[in-house]
Amino acid sequence: MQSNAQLEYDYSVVKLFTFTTILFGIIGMLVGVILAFQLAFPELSNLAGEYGTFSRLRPIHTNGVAFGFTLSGIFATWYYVGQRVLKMSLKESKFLMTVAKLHFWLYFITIPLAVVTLIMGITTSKEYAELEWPLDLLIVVWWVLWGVSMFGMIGMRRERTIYVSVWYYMSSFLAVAMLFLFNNMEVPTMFWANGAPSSAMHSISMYAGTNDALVQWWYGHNAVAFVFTTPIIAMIYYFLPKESGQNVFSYKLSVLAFWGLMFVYLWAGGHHLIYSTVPDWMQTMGSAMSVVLILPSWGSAINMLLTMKGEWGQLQTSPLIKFMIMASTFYMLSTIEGPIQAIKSVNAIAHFTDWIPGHVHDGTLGWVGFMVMAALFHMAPRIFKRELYSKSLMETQFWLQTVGIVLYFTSMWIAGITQGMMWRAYDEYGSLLYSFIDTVTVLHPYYTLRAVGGLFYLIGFLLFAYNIFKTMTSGRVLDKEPANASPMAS
Amino acid sequence: MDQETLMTMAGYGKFFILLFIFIIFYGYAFSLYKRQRSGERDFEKYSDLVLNDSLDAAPLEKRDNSKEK
Ligand code: HEM
Repeated sequence: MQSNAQLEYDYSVVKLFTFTTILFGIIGMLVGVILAFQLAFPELSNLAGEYGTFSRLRPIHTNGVAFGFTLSGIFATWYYVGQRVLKMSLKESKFLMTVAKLHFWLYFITIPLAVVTLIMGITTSKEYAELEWPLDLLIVVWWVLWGVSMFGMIGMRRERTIYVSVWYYMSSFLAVAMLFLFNNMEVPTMFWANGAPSSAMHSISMYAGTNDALVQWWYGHNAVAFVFTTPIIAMIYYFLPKESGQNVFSYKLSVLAFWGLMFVYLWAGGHHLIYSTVPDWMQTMGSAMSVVLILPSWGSAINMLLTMKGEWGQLQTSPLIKFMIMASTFYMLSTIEGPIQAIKSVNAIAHFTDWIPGHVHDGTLGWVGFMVMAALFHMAPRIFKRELYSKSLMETQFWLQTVGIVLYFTSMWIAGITQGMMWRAYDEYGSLLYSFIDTVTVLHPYYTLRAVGGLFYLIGFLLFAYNIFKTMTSGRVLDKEPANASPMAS
Repeated sequence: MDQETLMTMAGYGKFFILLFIFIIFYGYAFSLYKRQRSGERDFEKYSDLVLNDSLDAAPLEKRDNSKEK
């Protein structure tokens, strides 16, 4: 490897993934808003026959935002942050460049295939793992390609020490590989149908009953850990210090929190199965580990807040810093809320109620969404070599989306707790006080509020997409790469 | 085993799991701070991996085995 003044980082793959982050973000969130309105106004479920029903659309929403929007954002930032902190360029290796491009294109064809199969009703019926076996095989291929590019890039690095963000990306790669393989162990029925008619797309899980539930939530919970948490922490550990020009408050704390998260997260999945048929000790362990999880989670979040120590003024001048600080604040909110919900007696009220989606969206909209958008905002002037198109648009987006999230989680908290209490209420003879439909009637206004909150967030996302598009096409051209704060036109 | 014994065991189990993790992680934190203080390793300088990340910036710590000139 020759140091060479001409050599530059290569952002072609970053640009491709940036594009899919925005595209799949719009689709996934739009479907989410439709779902929210369907819950408030059920007539809306009947507008497009079977294809427009809640049950067909919900997996498209969850897969779209998790594996379309979030994963694209993770891949885009990986190819950006990875090259930079390792001080290597994809231009230096034809092989890795080809792998990265192939990674993108195989990923890119998987998502439309996922949408089509799901809308046709082809599903394994396992939450967050709905895709059928041929698609699972395709996913394995591009996941392995991501690994090859990741470890190839690490192998070519000029820096001896691997920055903590890269550890977080690596953990995401390794853990998801393991979780995905085990949870998707499935038998395509076609090969073992003994002549009985069977769809080529159909498979059954190798696990049954309680075992299936255990493997499913070991996977489900750690999908939260290794798709919605560790890679997002990877992002904030790079983009916040970079954008603010500050040193990480404590690098030691970042390393400590890393191992804490790795160790504790994998044991906490049992909190999804409290009061179910899984062994009681597992529920206890899941619950205990969930409480411990506050420590490493807050370790990272507080580390980020303290990184801004003495520089809080930047919060007033830069909407980009605002997005990131709000993201880590929402991270703190969802990681205190989660452990509370994991306590057995609280879970008895919270489980099956709307408090759960309330918790989910503090994390996904506030933490994941804000951080991914902030990362894209930071990268845009560097990858397109242009000034960000509009700061005031960013401000508008920030407030619109923050209000959207607040409407979302407050309405769901009230709805969830109301629902949980009403289901349990009984009179002096032990008879239930309410029937199910009573709760539905009471919840209607909150469902409407949530849908409006979601709509705000979607509009904000469209503003974001427009802002990036205008940056790309008509932002002022920059003659040199900005060192820290991203330049933005007012 | 009756329910009562089961609950008692779960209670002790919970306590000891927490104690175990507590010791491991405080031990690790202590070792990190000790290494920093004794000068064995300066962890805090690694923030510069982010702040100085342009391709022509000199690496913070060069790799021994790199074929760098
Ligand atoms: C300390 C960290 C956390 C803990 C201990 C925790 C705990 C929990 C608990 C107890 C549930 C409800 C299980 C049930 O009764 O159904 C849950 C659901 C969920 N959480 Fe968290 N949570 C944490 C952080 C997060 C974060 C940061 C996110 C997202 C970014 C997130 C996303 C989700 C999702 C998607 C579900 C819904 C699963 C389903 O479909 O039922 N969690 N979490």
